[in-house]
Amino acid sequence: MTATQAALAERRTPPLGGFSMAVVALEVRRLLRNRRTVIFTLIAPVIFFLLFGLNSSYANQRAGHGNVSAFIMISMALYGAVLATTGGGATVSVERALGWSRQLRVTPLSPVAYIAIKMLTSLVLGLVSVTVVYTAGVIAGKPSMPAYLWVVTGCCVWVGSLLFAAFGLFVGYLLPSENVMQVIGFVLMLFSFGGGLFIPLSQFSPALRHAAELTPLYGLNELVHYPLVGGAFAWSWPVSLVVWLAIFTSGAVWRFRRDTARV
Amino acid sequence: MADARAGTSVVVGVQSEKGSVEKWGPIILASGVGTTCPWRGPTRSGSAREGRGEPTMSPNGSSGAALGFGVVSQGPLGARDGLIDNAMSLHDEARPQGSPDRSDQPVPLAVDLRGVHKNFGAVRAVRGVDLAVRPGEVVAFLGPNGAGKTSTIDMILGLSRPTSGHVAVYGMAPQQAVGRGLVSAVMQNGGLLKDLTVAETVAYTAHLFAVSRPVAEVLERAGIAEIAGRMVAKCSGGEQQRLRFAMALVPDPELLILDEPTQGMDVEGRRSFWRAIRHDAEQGRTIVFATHYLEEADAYADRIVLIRRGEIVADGSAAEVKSLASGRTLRATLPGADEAALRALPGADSVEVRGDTVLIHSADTDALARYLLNNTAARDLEITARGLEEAFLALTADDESTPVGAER
Repeated sequence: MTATQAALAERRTPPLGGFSMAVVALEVRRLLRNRRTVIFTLIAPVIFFLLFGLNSSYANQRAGHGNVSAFIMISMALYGAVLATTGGGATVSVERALGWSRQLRVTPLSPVAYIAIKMLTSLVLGLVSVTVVYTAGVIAGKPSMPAYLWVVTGCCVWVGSLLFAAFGLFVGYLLPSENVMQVIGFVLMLFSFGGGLFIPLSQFSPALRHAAELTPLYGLNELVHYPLVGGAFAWSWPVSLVVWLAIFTSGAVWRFRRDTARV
Repeated sequence: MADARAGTSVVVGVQSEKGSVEKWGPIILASGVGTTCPWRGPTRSGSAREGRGEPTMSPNGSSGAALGFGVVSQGPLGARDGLIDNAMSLHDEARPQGSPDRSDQPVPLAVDLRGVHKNFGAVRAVRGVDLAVRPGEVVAFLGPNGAGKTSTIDMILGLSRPTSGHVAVYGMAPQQAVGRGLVSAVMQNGGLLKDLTVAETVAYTAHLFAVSRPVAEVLERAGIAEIAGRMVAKCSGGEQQRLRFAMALVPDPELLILDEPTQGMDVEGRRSFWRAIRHDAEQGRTIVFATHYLEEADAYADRIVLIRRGEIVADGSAAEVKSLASGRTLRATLPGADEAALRALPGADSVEVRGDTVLIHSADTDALARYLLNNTAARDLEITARGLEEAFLALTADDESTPVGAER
C-alpha cells in the first residue's frame, strides 16, 4: 500500500468519464425490479391499447396508409416511451436529492457520463415499452400498416420520447421524492389527453381543442403519426415540440442551479 | 480497542471549575514519543487511560512525566510555516517503522492544505487551515459539530472549492486524485440506492473505475460478504455504512477518508465498523477520519488534529493531545510577570499574562508552583485540574459570540 511514485503514476482515470454499459445494465435491472415502473411503462400502455385499439366499431377504419388500430398502437407506444424517458430524467434529480450523486462524486464518474447513463437507460426502457406494445399489436392482429411503417413509426416514437427526459429532470428537481413516478404518471396522463393520444382532438369542442394543441405532447404525437397518416404537414408541430423542449430544459437548468449548493 | 494498548494507567483528577478554563492559541505538539497508531505497532510508550468524569485525584504530576511529552506552545498564528514543519517533523520522528521506500522515492503528501479558507456567505466555516498528512498516517479530525470538519473534507475530496488557499492530494488537484482512485471516502450523508443489492451496489461502483478490486474481495474486507445478496433497503444503518466502506475500498485507494463514519450507529454497529476499518488500516492505508467522539480519535488515530471554529487548535499524537488536555492550570498573582521567562520554565505548555494575573497550563503544576513560590513574588496560587472531557470541550468549545462556522 505504501505509495511509491511509480504506483501513483500507474493510477489512471477511466475512459469516457466512467461511462460503462455494465452500469446501464444494472440501471435497467433496477428499473425492471421496480413494480411501479413496470406497471406504468410496460403494462399500462398494453392494457390501453387492448382497451381502445381493438374496438371493432372503428379499429379497421382506414387511417392514412394503415388503419385506426395501428394509429392507436402508435399512440400507446408513445405514451409508454414518454413515461420511460420522463421517469429516467426524474431519477437523475431524485437521486441527487437522495445523496446518491454525492456518493458518485467521489468516483471518477463525470456528471455528463452519469446523465448519459441515465438517458441510455431510459432509452432502453423506452425501446422495451415500444416493443411490448407493438408485439401486443402483432399478436392481436388488428393493426395494419405497411411493414416499413412499423419500423419507421416505432423508431420515431422511441427517439422522439427522449425529449421528455428534460421534462423528467425538471419534475424531479421540483419534487425530489421517491414517489415522483406517481405524480409523473398522473401529469403524463393529462398530457396524453391533451396531445390526443387517448381521444382524437377532433372529438373535443373547438375551444378545448385549441387549448389541447398548446400542451406538450401535441406536437410530438402529430409528428410520430405523420408517416402513417400523411397529408398536410403543419409546422406548428415541430415548433410546439421545440418550445416545450426549451421550457422543460430551462426549467431543469433553473432548478439545477438553485440546487447546486446542496451537491 | 483496549487490547492493543499497554502501559500504566494514569488517572487524572477532575475538579471541574469551568470558569477557569482558558483559551489557548494553536498548540503544536512536537515530541519524540512513540506515537504509532495503537493498532499498527507496539511503539506507543505508555498510554494513558482516564477515569472520565470520575472525581478521583491523580498520583501527582505523573501523567506528563509518564508520557514524556514536550509541548511546544506557539502563541500567535504567525508561525504558520513552522506549523507545517512541526507537524511534519513530528511524524518523521513518530513513525520510525515508516515505509522503507520513502527515502529513495519521495512521495508527495497524501493531503496538503495550505492557508485554506472556506466561506459560506458570511459564515466562515474554515479559517486558515494548514495541514500535512503523510502517506501511511491515520489522522483524526476531532472537533464538535460545526467545527468545519466536513467542510474541510469536502475540499480534500474536491466536492467544494476553497474560498482561498491551496489543496492538493498526492500532489494533484483533488478531483484528479478522485478520478484516479487515489482517494475515496465514506461520507456522512452519501445516499444509497435502495433497489440494488449490496453486491450490485459495489459492482456499480467498480464499473466506474479504471481499475478496481474484485467485488467479492471488497465485500469480504468490509465484513458484509454474508449479506451480499440483500437489498440495500433491508440493511441496517451499520450495514449500510459498511457498504459505503466497501464502495470506498473498490479502487484500493491510497487515502481513505471517513466523515463521522459511526454517527447514528449503536454500540455494536460502531464496534464492528471500526473492526473492519482497523483490519484495513493494518495494510498501511492512509486514513483521515472526522469524529466528534474523543474516544474514537483516541482509540483509532495515531495523530489527532483538533479543530475548533474552522481552525486547527492542536495537532499531535493521541497521547500528546490527551496529556495536553488533561493537564492542569495554575493561576497566580504576579505583578510584573516576565512572560518569556515563564514560558521558558520546564513543563509550561502555555502561558498567559493578564495584568497581574498569570495563567500557566502544565502537566506538572506542582513543580511550577514550587518554583514560583520559592523564586518569585507570586501569591494567591490556584491550581485547577480538569477532566479529559472538560479539557477537550475547553479546547474545542465555541466561546465567542461571533457567527460560528457551519458544518457544511
